[in-house]
Amino acid sequence: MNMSVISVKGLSKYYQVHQKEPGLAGSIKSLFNRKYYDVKAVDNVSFEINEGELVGFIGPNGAGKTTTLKTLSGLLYPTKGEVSVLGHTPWKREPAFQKQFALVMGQKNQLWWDLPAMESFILNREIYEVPKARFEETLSELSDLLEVQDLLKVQVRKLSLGERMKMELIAALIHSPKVLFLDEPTIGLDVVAQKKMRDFIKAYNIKYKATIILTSHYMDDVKELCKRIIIIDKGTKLFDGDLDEIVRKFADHKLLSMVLDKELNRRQIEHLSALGGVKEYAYPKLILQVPRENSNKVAAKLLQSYPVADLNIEESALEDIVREVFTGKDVA
Amino acid sequence: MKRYLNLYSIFFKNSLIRMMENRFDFLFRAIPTTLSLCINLLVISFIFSKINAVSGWNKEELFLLLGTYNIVWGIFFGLFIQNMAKINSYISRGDLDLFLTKPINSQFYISIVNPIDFGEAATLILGLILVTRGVSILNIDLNLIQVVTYVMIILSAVTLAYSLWFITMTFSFWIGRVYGLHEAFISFFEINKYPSDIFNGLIKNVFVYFLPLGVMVTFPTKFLLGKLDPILMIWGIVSGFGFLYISHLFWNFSLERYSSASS
Repeated sequence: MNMSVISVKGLSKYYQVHQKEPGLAGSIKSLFNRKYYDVKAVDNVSFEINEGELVGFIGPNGAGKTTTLKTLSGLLYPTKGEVSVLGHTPWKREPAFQKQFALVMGQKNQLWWDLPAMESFILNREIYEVPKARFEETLSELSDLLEVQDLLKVQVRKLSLGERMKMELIAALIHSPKVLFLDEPTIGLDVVAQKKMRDFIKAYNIKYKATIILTSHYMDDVKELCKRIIIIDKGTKLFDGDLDEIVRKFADHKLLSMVLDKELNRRQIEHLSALGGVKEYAYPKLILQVPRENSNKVAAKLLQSYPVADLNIEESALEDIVREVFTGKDVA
Repeated sequence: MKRYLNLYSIFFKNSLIRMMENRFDFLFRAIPTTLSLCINLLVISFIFSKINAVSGWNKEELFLLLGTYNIVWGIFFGLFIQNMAKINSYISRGDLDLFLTKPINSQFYISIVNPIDFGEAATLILGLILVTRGVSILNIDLNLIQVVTYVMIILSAVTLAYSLWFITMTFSFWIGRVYGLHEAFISFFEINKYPSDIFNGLIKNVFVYFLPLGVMVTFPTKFLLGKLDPILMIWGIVSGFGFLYISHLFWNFSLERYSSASS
């Protein structure tokens, strides 16, 4: 039997937020009589995650993703519910628990600016009480993976943004945590750095069999890394399952992506709408959205009667699918 | 305990490295410090050109007080100012989260994570000079035990100053972003330039027993002058550790109620 590493049952986190009427009169009134209303940041969320899984949490801003991660990290006490990570209750903040996980939040820095990154690693080694041999090994593995072996003794402020980001990662992982909570790991990075970050996360997951939860706005992060996703919106869990499943269930459309070798005349353009929805037409590119069942038939028709040089049948963009989930289509 | 000593030595070493990177900064800091001290000395001299004593303190005794003030200030500020100043912003911006997930006491970490300000060494050295001069001019005989006791009283004064400042900064949890909270504390601290004897009755008792600012500089000086009641001396030392404990309780209590700023 596979014991779950992360177990969440009925997690809820409510906040009381002070409500103020607009304007000066409202401000004065609120000095005397404060009205509060409840915000349900997280409402009755449950899930189990097993060792080695790489799970994506997706949802719009304010959905409750970060609040959930913070609760799993022990930063917040829940209003209701039970949480267990590696057999510990996170908010007790037991050192034995803290030594086994890492929370990495977007672009927050913890390295000392004026000193070589190595000094920060040594500090973390001491904080996490990592045995010397393991420290050397992890340092060497991580710096190889990230290709920064020669930069360890260089002052952090002399490094480029990308190099600094890699050092931050090493500092955060020098204690070889088994559980990683990554909050928006690729935010603010350029395309190349994003890809490198994703490759690293994948490699870390495989090499250390680490259990990873990642939150992101970027569908590419999720598409590339996560087999399983959990969709959260307005504090509730909307979907929990394989990425493929959500694509199949919700995407009742497929995309026909074409390269044309001749511009279309007006009659042809008008006829297109009979075949499906035109998602994009910018010669020579044409993307048509058609119902799943018809995709092969329509594709054949297009190849026959239209100047199509190349045609691909693709799933709907994940972004569109997820947007449909958020706008309340049936989760059944 | 040993682990925290190790950790502290790492922070200390890193502060040293950083200071050596910024050598000129250290030299420049010595200038305003010396100037400020000279101004204080001039003010005292001026006052004493008109009168002979203030609340039972003569000129040389006040110089001795000023010297002790600089010693306490130099140690206390040097060790902690870079850290205390940032607590308010760590709390209000949610940066505290990075500290709380680590297996290290958060009060300890937040108090030493930023480098030691070695510029304050100038203050400390000037203070030591002034005290040494004062002890010789006033013909005070000190044996080894008394010197050690003086050092201990100074250290508990530093502990007390740290604890009071830390408690003040912990209020950030309750009242949010407060500009100048930490400047207010510094202004308050400057009361120590004057012997607590200048206050009467109720105010004096507040400053000695309740909010023991008065203890920090006046007591060690009185000890050198042989005028410190032994019971008060014990209060001086105890209050340092007592308030440290209170700061620890208050910090933990505030953390419990803390919900981090949302992203």
